[in-house]
Amino acid sequence: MFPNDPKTPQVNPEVSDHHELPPVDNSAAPYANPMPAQTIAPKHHKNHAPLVPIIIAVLVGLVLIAAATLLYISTRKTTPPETETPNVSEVEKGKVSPEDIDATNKSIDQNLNTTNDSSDFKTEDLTDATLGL
Amino acid sequence: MKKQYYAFFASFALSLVLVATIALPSVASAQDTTLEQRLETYKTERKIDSKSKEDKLKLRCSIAQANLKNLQTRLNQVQTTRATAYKNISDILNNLQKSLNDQAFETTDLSSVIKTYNAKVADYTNNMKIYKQAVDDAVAVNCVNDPHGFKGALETARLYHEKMVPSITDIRTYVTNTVKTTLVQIKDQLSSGRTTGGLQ
Repeated sequence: MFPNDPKTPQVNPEVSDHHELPPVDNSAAPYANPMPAQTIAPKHHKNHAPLVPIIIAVLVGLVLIAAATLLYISTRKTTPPETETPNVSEVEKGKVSPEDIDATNKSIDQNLNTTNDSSDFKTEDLTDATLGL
Repeated sequence: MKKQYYAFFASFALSLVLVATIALPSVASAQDTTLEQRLETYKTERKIDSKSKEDKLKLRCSIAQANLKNLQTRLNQVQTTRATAYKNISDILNNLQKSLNDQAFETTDLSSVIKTYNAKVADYTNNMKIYKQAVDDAVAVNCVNDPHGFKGALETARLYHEKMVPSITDIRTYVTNTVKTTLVQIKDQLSSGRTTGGLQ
């Protein structure tokens, strides 16, 4: 019955009255004393418990990031390219002739004449008198 | 135990920061300014200078809004017609330039003319957009409750209306004097069989 004998139970009467036992070096006697096993087991439980919410938080974050990325991509694709065919007299493929330039000039005039500078933006449009202010 | 909670909150906060970094710019860029935001800007830029003017404005602004509605309808048409006409002219010139390039004709002058024309049209388009928006806002605002917002929008519309007239005159003058003159020069060169360089 030596104090360091692995087969000797390491019971300390002063300590056994308390709720928490002081740490006991059980490396030398892993199977001899059941008490240290009771104190070590909760420690393992405490180490694993906070991992669950962390993993959930990270997963939620990843899901939100994926959602934000999809939203970003979808908003960038919402403006489709213009496919409207303009009313343009295109110069025929091949050599441009002086007559083509005349036709181009005429087309420019036609388009310019669809606008009316004096009636589109009248000087009196926003005066107090016109608005009744 | 405290360290583990810190780790939990830190990871969650990091996730939120990452989400905000990615999501917020896309949301912000997808939205234009609201009516309220624009009214605040109008108010800070252009204020009503007296109480009597404010009272007068409250009294008559609904009549002014009815008249502005007519202008608003006309501006929709003007905006569309001009945008189409200016774009068509740009397309006509670009097509001509492409065809001339294909036959190794010198198009440096034409290219410069097209560039200047497009810049003038872009300037007009931008001013027209602000003008039209200010008229829309002056119509939309509750002018009795917010006479300052109405007045601000109206003054902004007036400011940009004044910019419109020289802008459209400038485009017409440029097309008539510069674009057409360049086309006449090109026609003369084609008639005499000259190409003066060009792309190879």
